[in-house]
Amino acid sequence: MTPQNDHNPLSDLLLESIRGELSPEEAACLSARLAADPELRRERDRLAAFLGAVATAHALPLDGRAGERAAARAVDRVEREESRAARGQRSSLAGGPLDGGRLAGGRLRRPVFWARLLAVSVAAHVIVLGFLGARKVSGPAAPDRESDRPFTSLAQGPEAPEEGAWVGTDVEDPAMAQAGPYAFDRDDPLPVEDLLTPGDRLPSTSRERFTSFAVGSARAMWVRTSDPMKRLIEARVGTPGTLERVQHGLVALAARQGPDGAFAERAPAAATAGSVSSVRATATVLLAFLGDGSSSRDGTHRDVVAKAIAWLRAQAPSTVDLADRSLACLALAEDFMLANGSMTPAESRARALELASLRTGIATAARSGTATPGAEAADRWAELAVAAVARAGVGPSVAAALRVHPSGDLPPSPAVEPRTAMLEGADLLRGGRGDAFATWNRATAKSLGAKLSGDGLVILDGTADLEETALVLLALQVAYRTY
Amino acid sequence: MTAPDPDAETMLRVKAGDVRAFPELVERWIRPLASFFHRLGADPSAAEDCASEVFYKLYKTREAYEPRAKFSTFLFSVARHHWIDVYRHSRIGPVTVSGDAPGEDGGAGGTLVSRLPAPDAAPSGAAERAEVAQALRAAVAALSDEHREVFALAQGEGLRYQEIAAILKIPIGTVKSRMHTAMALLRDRLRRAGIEP
Repeated sequence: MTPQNDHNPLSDLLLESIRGELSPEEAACLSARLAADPELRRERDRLAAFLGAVATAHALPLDGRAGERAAARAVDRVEREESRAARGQRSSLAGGPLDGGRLAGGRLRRPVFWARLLAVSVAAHVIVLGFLGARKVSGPAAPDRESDRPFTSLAQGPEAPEEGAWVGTDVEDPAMAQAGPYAFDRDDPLPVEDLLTPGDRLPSTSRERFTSFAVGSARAMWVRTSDPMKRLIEARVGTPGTLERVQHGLVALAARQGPDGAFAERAPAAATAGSVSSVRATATVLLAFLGDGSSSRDGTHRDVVAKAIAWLRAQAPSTVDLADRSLACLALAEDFMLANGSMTPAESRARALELASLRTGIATAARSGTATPGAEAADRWAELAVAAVARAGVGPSVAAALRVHPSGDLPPSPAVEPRTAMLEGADLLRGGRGDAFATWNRATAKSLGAKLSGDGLVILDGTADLEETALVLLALQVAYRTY
Repeated sequence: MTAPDPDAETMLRVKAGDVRAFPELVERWIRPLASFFHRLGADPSAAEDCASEVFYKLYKTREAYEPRAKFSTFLFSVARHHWIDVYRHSRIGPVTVSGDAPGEDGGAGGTLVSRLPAPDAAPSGAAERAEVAQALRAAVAALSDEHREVFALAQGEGLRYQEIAAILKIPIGTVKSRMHTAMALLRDRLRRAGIEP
């Protein structure tokens, strides 16, 4: 018998009763039967529990400002459309005064014929003379270097934007066409939270406004490796000089790598045999390098990362502590995301299998609650690790696993606890709280940045604390390392 | 005489030019709408996108709004049309997971549906609850479009059969029939997996 013709009239009646769809007479009749039949009451309770479970299974963890955001976007989008339509209407009705500016839509108003002819003629002369002059002074065009592209100029001297000001890029510029997924329309700026939101979570309204688009981790990893992009983000939501501090710190950390490729939690001025290597310290330090775009295959600190990754791959499978194992998995996943394109198929497969195995172990441990009781941070690292492996394309898709943790109101001063700072900043970003994030990020750069000594390291009791240093760097990187 | 519909009144304020009334409406309905799209098969981010698009359409056409039916009926009609236009026809988006699929451990713990707890089972952790929820979603996703649609509106959003009939433009008897069939299919599916739903 198929379920379609397996209707039980009594079950249907119970359903109607739970839903409140029965007439008073039907309800009274059913009540009498329920009173007399305990099995029917149990069936009703089972049905109610089942329906409740199904209802909650689809509840979405929208953050508290989702409604406000959606409303603002809808109104903003409609108003822009209406404004454009109105301008278009006005321009089509315009007569011939010499108001011949350019409209947002790119159409010229109808100027007096002679004025237009004069303007075209002058423009043509300027272009030709300018071109000849440039040829004479500079000779042939320089090769297309990244530093020649518009993004680079954003962080330089007089062209640097004011803090918090939006910086547009010209989508018609051929160089920008190659600039990747962050190219956007000058006349149609995106909120900063959209700029930093992983692609697959962008609202479709914003998605349309990107001239090109790449999803999730691919875009995030690209940002890490793009110095101009990082500078753009710093200009938007950061503090000038932060990138340099991070670079300085990374150089100092690199100098303290052990001969085996690992890092100790605390280390004297140079790596010594007496330093105790640690999975947690090595993974955390690695994340700082990976956050800045270096991987085991590419980047400024490629050799440092490659050695540390090799050490970590050997240690991670036997690591018991959930937080340590999760940090190791996270670092290995991020290196995989950054470097997979340069791996041979065999290497790629081996690394993917390692990640899958680590991920399963972490998910199982987190599920079974074998983590240290109350170790919320361990759960958070586990969650990040599982999500990172999914983002790396290994194993089942669990995009929803990376939850947005409600941060509540922004604390008056940012967390000065480096261990949780990165998580808090990432929560603000993932929660779409771009403005709050910018405030947090600038305050964090000030408070945590002050922990770094002139050598670029956090010094505790006269000794360099490498793990703490890396955590500070991770917090300073949040704006461009989050995915 | 029908009771006044506060949401319809709010929408009329929006129509009259009170922009500040619009966020109230969005705040009230964004979660039910997103959940509705999620029940229909959109992943969480696509569901939120869909809800945002519905509000955009709502605001764009605010001047044409006439409170001919309950606001929820009107809103879910718009939502349903959006779903049909964007998703069902363009075949974008919803990736359904079979309840018979293995779990994240490769199947060692059984299929997703087989992990559904007995009704009196106590949840043993957030991760487990999440996995159970995933199995339930898989079971709903396995319904046909027409059954899932009725189920989503009836059970998810708590709309009355009469409202659902108005949204889907089908007789109320058909709504009941589809709902009962959906329930029978779901319960049968779980029962076959050894669970008493």
